[in-house]
Amino acid sequence: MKAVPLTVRIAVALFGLMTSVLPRRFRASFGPDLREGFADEALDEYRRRGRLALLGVTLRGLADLFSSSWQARVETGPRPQASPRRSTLMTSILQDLRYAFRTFRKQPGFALVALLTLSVGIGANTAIFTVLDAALLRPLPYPGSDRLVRVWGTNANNRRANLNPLDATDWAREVRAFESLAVWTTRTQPLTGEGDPIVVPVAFVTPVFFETLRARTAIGRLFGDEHARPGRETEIVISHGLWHDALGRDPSVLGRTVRLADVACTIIGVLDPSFISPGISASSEPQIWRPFVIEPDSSRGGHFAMAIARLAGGASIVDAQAQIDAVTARLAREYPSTNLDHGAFIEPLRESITGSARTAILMLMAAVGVVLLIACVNVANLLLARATVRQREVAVRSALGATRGRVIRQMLTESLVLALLGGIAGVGLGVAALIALPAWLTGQIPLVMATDIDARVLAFTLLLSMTTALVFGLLPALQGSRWDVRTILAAGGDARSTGSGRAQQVFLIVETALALVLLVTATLLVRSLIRLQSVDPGFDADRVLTFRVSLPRARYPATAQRIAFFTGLADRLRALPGVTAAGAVNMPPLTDRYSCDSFGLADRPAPPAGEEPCTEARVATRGYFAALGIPLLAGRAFTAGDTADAPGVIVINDAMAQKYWPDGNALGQRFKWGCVSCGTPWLTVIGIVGNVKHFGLDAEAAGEVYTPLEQSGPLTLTMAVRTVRDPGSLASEVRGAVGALDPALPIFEVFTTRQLVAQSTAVPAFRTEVLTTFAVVALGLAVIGVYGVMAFFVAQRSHEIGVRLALGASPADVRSLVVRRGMTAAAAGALLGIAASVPVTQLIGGLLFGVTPHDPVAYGVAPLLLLATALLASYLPASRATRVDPLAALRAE
Amino acid sequence: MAMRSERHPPLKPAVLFLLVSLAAGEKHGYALRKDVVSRSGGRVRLGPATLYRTLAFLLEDGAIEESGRRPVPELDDERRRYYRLTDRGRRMLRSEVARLEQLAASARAILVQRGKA
Repeated sequence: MKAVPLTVRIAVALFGLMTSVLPRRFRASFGPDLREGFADEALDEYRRRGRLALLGVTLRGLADLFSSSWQARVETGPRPQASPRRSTLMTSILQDLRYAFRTFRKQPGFALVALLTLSVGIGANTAIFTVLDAALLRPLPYPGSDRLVRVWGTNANNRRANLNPLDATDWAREVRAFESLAVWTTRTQPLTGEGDPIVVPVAFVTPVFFETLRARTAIGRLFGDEHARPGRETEIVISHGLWHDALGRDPSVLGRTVRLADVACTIIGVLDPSFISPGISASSEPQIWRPFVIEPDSSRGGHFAMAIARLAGGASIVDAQAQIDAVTARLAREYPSTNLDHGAFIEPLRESITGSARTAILMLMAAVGVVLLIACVNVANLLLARATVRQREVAVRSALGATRGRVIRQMLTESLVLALLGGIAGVGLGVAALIALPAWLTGQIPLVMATDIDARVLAFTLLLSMTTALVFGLLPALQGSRWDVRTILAAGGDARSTGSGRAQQVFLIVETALALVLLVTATLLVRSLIRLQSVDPGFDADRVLTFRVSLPRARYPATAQRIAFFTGLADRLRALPGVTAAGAVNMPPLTDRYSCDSFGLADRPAPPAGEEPCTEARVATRGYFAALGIPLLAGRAFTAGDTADAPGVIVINDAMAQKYWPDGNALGQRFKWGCVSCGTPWLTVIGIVGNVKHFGLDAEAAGEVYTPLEQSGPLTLTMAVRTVRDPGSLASEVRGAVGALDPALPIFEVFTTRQLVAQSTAVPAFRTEVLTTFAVVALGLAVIGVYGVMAFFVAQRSHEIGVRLALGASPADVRSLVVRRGMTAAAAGALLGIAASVPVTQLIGGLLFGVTPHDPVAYGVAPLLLLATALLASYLPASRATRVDPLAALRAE
Repeated sequence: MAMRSERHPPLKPAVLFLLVSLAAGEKHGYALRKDVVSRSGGRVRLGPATLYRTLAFLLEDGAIEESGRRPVPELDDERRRYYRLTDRGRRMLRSEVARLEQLAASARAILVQRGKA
């Protein structure tokens, strides 16, 4: 049996659920076949044409179900042979249901608006709740995941930093509160020997890694104690995905050899498909795991690894933190030169994964809750209005012998039917959103890899719609049943004296206030995003293509070979048509690559050992500054003369120059990596370039020091090519240029600099888009609310308005009577909304960039927008009021 | 069950195509839908529920019946029900085809005459 994709299963389940709209007998004889046929079709379409086609099939299938159900009922008609023994309760419920449907059909406008309102509210809630559920509520996909913790390194500046592997082995050995502690580090390596060379994310893990996570294999085995010692480094475990995609699910894959970074490695195991590595985003999910051997004599100076641990039975995080603090204190005493200021910080694994997205998810959940609330208020208003209009009908029914309970039940049935239909349509909308937009979500919010609607979300939605119906159906129902039959019948069904107008007015104020809170928040986020996106990144991001090349050490052992390769590649790139500049750097901006290295300066006294300052270290080629458009502010850039044998030189950025030589005398200063007394050579500052926003558009530029390629010789560089053409169209030509030098080399991370900039703002852009959508929906719902209530007001008062017109009131008077009423509510709502926005915007202050939570523009624009739309919404009914025929109104008197 | 007279009103396109498809061989539901789409050149598409509603109607009418026979085991899926034309269904189809042929012939004669004029 072939695996059926999750989205198809969701669609089929939804369809299966919806078959319940069909007549019972029909469903009994054809239900399973119907579902089976739909499942075949859905799978076919999905396989042939993808998700969108699936969505189309599902929607068409559902539409067909509903129309068929309708036609089937019309054709069969009521069944006279129905059992006469059916209980009277059942009969009356069915009666109520039929009656409800009939009234909806009589007033399709009301039913449609109510359904639309509810389904939008419920649909958005379902979708967001599903995401929330995956990210915050559902246990992590590891057995006993509540015992798993992330262990971070700490330093003077950062509480969540990388750590030194040797330190971590001490922690693992000495902290009793850990059952096990695993260390890992990741990098990308070229995989050759299986078709085209590809670059795969590789994790180097200590053997207890899999045991700590309680991971299982699909086939083969995982690492054992023997992998902690040197000698077994070339044995690898691969992901189920890699086995499936690159190795064709070959069952004899165990023992097979693949070449990783030009080293022959043997596959010993394939992980279970359900395995997800912790704390690593979807884009860099490792495909290959290699043993991480920590040599006991390695340095404690480098901090590049990560760690995860499982708490021992009975131990708490607090115990573990106290014990690990004791160990780091001992290490700091023992190795003051490397371990001073370095500690450890433990937090639950879940928090480490969803921590940063928590505020954003909660904000979206709150926003969507507000939308649902507005939707409910709207529906309540509609029900209220209708109940008032239907006083006479209710009175007639009471006069004909209907009990109060029966009348209430009838009205409740109507609102329940509405809520259920709204819930069903809402789930449909939510499913559609989750089918059509998963790419939008994955990567933006961690752990959202498998978003599917499960039973709990369905239950949540159902509960929500039922509650909506009960709460907002009960009020009008109670009110409707209390009216004095005789008065109403005598008054000819006029409902002016019921006081429901006041309730409507209050609802109106509440919903405009809620909508305004969302509008203010969205305006703030939009303004913040615009500020962020207009930040100058420090380089010219137009028309530059970047890609990364990594040379295997085995084939490029000598520095000279690497320099020759990269210089040759830059020359070839420069010769491509349309290319104006080409260069390379080891850590391009906005890519999460950085390295703060300590240094010493000749013009000032050396700090005590271990307290040297650090600065961002980069290696760049001659053409790099020109290719990225980073301006040269003083001195010169690298030239061909800066060879390995020539005097050592560096170029620094403006931030570095301002920090250490604010008087402007940076040029010619002498600088050394490590410390003043270290054995590294002295280097001279020959140039100053502009700052680059390396860590993100919202981050301050850090001090940077560039070393020329010729005086360093790294294995991996990111090439940058500036062109007069569309940079995206250059990809195949640069691949050709690399292939001409070394056909076995893959290129990876191929991005235009525009894409790099866009990726760096993707998360705030995402939450702004979502929240703005909600705000617009909320505004739309509020407008519908204002319009509905005002239209109802006009209809109800047409008699009074007619009298006023007859007594000489001008159309303008009448118009202002109505508009004033609508605008009073909107203005009160706006004031209330502004007051409510103050604490709310305070909460999201951390998500804002360059705007204060009390930004006067946002607080000015949003209420104006709200009032303007409210004006429009009440003006339409108002102008209808002026067309009341005074004669007709008087005649009715 | 109401027996209908042999002289039936013109068949709806969906019904006609279903009968034609079943006349070509017995099929299960989804296969029928695909066959109708391809036979009609994509003009007639039956939704899943519409299909079974039409089948129910034809079953009740006695034009089709569930088939006891199954195709060769490896092509078979035992969850599915297969349908085939009854003699009555075949007669319905035949008389419909005759009606259409008559209609086509008279239409053609008119067009030919007009063409000459």
